[in-house]
Amino acid sequence: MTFRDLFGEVVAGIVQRPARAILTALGTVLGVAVLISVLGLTTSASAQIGKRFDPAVANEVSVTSDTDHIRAWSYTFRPDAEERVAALRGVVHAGIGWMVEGAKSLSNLPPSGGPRANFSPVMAATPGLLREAGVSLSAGAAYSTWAEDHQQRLVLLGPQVARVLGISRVVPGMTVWVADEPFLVQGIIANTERHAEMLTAVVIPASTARALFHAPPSTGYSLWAVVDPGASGVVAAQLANAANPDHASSYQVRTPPDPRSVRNQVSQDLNSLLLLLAGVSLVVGMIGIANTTIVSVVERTGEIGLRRALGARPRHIQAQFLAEATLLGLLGGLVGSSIGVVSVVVVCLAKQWTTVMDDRVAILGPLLGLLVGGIAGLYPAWRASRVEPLEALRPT
Amino acid sequence: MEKPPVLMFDEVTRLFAGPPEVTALRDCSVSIHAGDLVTVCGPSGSGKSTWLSLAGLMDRPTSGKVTVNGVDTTDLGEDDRTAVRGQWIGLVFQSFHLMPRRTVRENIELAGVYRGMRPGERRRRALELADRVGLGPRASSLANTLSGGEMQRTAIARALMGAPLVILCDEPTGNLDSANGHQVMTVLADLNTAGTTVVIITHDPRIAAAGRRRLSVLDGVLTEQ
Repeated sequence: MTFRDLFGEVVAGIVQRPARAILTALGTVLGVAVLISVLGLTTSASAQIGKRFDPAVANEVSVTSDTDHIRAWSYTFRPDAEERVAALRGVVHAGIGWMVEGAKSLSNLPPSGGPRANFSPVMAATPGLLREAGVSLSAGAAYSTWAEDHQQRLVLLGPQVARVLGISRVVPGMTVWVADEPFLVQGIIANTERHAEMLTAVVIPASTARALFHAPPSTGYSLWAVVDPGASGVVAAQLANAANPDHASSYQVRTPPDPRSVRNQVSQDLNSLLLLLAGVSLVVGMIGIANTTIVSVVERTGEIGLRRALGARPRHIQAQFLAEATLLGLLGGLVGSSIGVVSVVVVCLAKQWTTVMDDRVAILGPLLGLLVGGIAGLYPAWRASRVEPLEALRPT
Repeated sequence: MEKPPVLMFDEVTRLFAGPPEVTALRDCSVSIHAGDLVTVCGPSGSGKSTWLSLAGLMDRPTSGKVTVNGVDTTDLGEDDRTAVRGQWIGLVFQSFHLMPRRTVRENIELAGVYRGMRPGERRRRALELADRVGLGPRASSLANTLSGGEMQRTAIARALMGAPLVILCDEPTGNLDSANGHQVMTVLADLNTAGTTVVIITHDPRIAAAGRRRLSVLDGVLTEQ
């Protein structure tokens, strides 16, 4: 029996029983489809996780002085700390800021205007920190370095504060009173990329805050720096020395979690869980093929007996049934791969993700199907080869 | 040199271990020669099917030896027995055993697959045999559209595919009405007239009467009438 004859018999065996062939391959189709979907969705989802992490926090590092030292205004950063940090390679923007202790009264009327009903947190921020935070304004302009250097009484209103005060635009000479101290409204914050606390606070120059509200900062006397992608580790290593080498050891440097490790961790968790599911599906598919093929062997005992009577040797029968199961597995793998890829594309379209799939997945599915079919066909093929030609004599 | 018998049983006994132990065939000796038209007749359970399965090398005797065309098959392995069967013996079954979703030609061709015949040769030979059994016009019909007689004639053509020395027919008219049965018997008689050795197993005395040599089996004992 030639390979061509074997292939012909196998194809005929499958084509002539289409319903059985479909049912037999169904398990593999589902298993491979789940596997390919899992692989495609996890790689696509990982890419999304990376996108979400990268621009948000992964490029910000900070150095903070110990709270006890800050309360005494000791161990503060060098006067030129912000410039020194900004000069580090990889740093895009750097700035110093802190939350002034206690919410301060806030009014658009002078103290003589009556009791204060509104209170707001006050944040001290250098112009560098405004840039570092990615502050965008809906009205007015950010205060300048000159204003910082000269302790100007300027204020940026967070959008919520502006709404409370009924201020929607900035006009020259507009004044608000923070802790009964007059400040010219310089701008209204629309949004920030970092430091969301600015949205619910009033932001004043750091030098002004220190001069007016001498009380030590409550939290977060820090120097923040936004850095180029991938530079956080290198910058963090130099940050404390740049802020003040005399007290470097008393500072706490914070670096963001490495997005790659977070992404990998999430991917691994997803992968292991879903691959387990896909593996179970494949095993179920394998059992399905084995079971249906065994039933097929029983049903086709007369045919097998006939083939044996016509001169087929046991190995011919074995090869035929093994090849049938393997071919069905391969077809199941091909169909399953196609369904899997389409599923991934559809889900990614619905989620507006970029579809990310390894090219090798296209080969993996059919190969797995082939393997599953081959393994599943071993036992039924062996059983088929044990059928005696005498079976052909039994009436059907 | 004289040609050996196509098929020879020499003191063949076949026991089936029980319980209860059954002697299906006892000390059977017979020779079938080229050109014979032999009928083996006996009631159900007499041992004639056992005789056929031994003659077709589908079973092994408990004792004695079965010789096909001078080859003692006693010690042959399964592959060699299969090769001898495929080469020299054609089998026709009561239940036809056709592939229902294959055509007459494809069913006939199947016997050539395991003989290593090339596809073109198989096709030509199958069409020739279909013609010979009167199914030329139906060579492209699916087997499940044939009448019982046509199915059995297809099975006979398939048995002839490898130009065997003998064809063994197990109740070839058992599933047929008398008209179709008559057609099949005519085909077999014609084949014999053309030189093919034919052995027919039957329980029907009218069919048995068609044999030029008539054997009967009763309680495992074969006798020639």
